[in-house]
Amino acid sequence: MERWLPEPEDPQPQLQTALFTKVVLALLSGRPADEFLDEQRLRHLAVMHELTTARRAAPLRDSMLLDYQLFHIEADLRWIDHASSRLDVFSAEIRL
Amino acid sequence: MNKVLIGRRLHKSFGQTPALRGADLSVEAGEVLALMGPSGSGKSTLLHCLAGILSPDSGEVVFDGRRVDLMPDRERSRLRRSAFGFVFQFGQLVPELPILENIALPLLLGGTRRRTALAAAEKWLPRLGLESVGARLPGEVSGGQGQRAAIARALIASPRLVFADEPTGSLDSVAADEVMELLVTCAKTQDAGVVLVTHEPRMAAFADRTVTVRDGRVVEAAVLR
Repeated sequence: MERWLPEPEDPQPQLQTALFTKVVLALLSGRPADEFLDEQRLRHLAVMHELTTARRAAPLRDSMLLDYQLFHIEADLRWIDHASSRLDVFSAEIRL
Repeated sequence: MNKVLIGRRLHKSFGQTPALRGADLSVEAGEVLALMGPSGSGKSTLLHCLAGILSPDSGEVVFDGRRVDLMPDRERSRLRRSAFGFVFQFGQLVPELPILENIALPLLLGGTRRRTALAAAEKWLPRLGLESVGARLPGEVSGGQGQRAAIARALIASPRLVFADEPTGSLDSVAADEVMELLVTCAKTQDAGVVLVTHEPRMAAFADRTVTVRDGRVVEAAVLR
């Protein structure tokens, strides 16, 4: 434990491969990726709302874990917004 | 549900640049509603039109059955003072006045006697953890304390609605969570609704409902509660 605890962990990118794959497949097949991303944004926000509500009554240890989850879901949402704003460019490039 | 504020087909341009292009939105009594959207989407312009700060070029804003967009300036100012509260990104407290007097300001402007207004403001200090800074000037308190004072100022006159434009935009994540928690809790305690503009999903997650504004229109909505 003395060796393991101070050792920095390599970051593990939380690759939401399903999200990314759905966007790429939608674009490749001419389907509306923006609608999928909009629906996904709402689903993410709904889960964040549940976690925020749960955090209100949680003891500190649990609230830190809930914060950890919230920040990771927020990172997904940032990618969703970023992807939404670049769909035109992405779409043109992916079809080349 | 009772719709307390309605915006219909709102258009607003700044010079040749359109900011709103037919935005429709309604706010239920007592709900916390988050307006989200990318920079330049029109979400702040929509908030300012709904709050009677800006006049739309066309469309209607109806509060409690009254057309806000048709009101003369003086009547609109009176409505803003009596029925609405405001929290902005940098608090916008009056720098020359101590925190206590900043909190009391809406009551003082509304004609309440000074002693009564300050006594009412005094009661807000412990609710927002500001007991030790009531006598300090805004420049002498932290960003989080300033925003908490702005929340007290927004709620002291018992408004029906609080309009908050990026109220946590200048704060770190811990202070931002505290400010949002206090804003939502205090507003709910007073049965006031909140219209919140934010680009931060973690802040929008405090809301009962979110709408997304894009290219000057409300394009999607979600009930979270």
